[in-house]
Amino acid sequence: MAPERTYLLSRLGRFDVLVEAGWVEEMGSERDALASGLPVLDVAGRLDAEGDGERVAAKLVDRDRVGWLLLGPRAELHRVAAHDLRGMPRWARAAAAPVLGVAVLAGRSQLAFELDLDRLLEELREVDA
Amino acid sequence: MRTLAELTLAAGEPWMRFRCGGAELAVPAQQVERLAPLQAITPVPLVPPRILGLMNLSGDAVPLLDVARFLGLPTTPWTGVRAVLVCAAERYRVGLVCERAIGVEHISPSAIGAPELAAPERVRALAIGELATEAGVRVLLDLDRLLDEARVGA
Repeated sequence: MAPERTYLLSRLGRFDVLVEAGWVEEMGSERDALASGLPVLDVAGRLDAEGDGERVAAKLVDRDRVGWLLLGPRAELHRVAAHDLRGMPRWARAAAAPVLGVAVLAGRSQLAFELDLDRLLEELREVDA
Repeated sequence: MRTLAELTLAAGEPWMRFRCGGAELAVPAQQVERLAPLQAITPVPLVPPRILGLMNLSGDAVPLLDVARFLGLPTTPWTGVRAVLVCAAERYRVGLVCERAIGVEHISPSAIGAPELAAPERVRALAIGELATEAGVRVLLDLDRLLDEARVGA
């Protein structure tokens, strides 16, 4: 059996993004995130993706770093086999994009981008500063 | 810029001809891995418009370059059949999106002139030679330079 990882898959405008579930302490609504007093980062805005309406939020925790990412209107758990994950092609990788790689997901023609959560947690820390 | 000797050697190789933005262009056929039909494109965050996105090609994410847009050639509506020339340059594997792949042709070195007529300027700057034909000018592109200059962050 091929090794797998579990991700939250969410649609942000033009982009499908993957958030590795192991970093997520809890899920909530946009209101929960804004009311928490913790730093909040709008991922759609960060990727220059369109997005509107109420969004779900994922609370990330890593040692002393904590904060919420606003995702798309929905997020679902998705298991991704290791061999379906690819590094982002260097030729087309924007330095500003917090993206680690891409994944081929079964049954979907569009590729999904794995978010660089370590980098986003650092950005949450800057939001908080 | 390649030397005349390098140009002569390169010109002895087969070239893959294709149409793009109303122009006839060619790249070294040995650097073209395969031809593929244009399939579903995944847009990429925060890249310039010349990068059309990624295409899933047998499980690999291949970035796509809108050649016409990058070279400043007229862009045509996204209708009809488009072709992707999947190219492997020294450091990159990239799909060149064009209107039509014409085929491979061996071109005699003596038929190749210095790039003087090719237009616009960006096409001329990335050409290693050109060939006058009855149908117009065929431009032979330096694929390594093209991909190097078109990459994100270049």
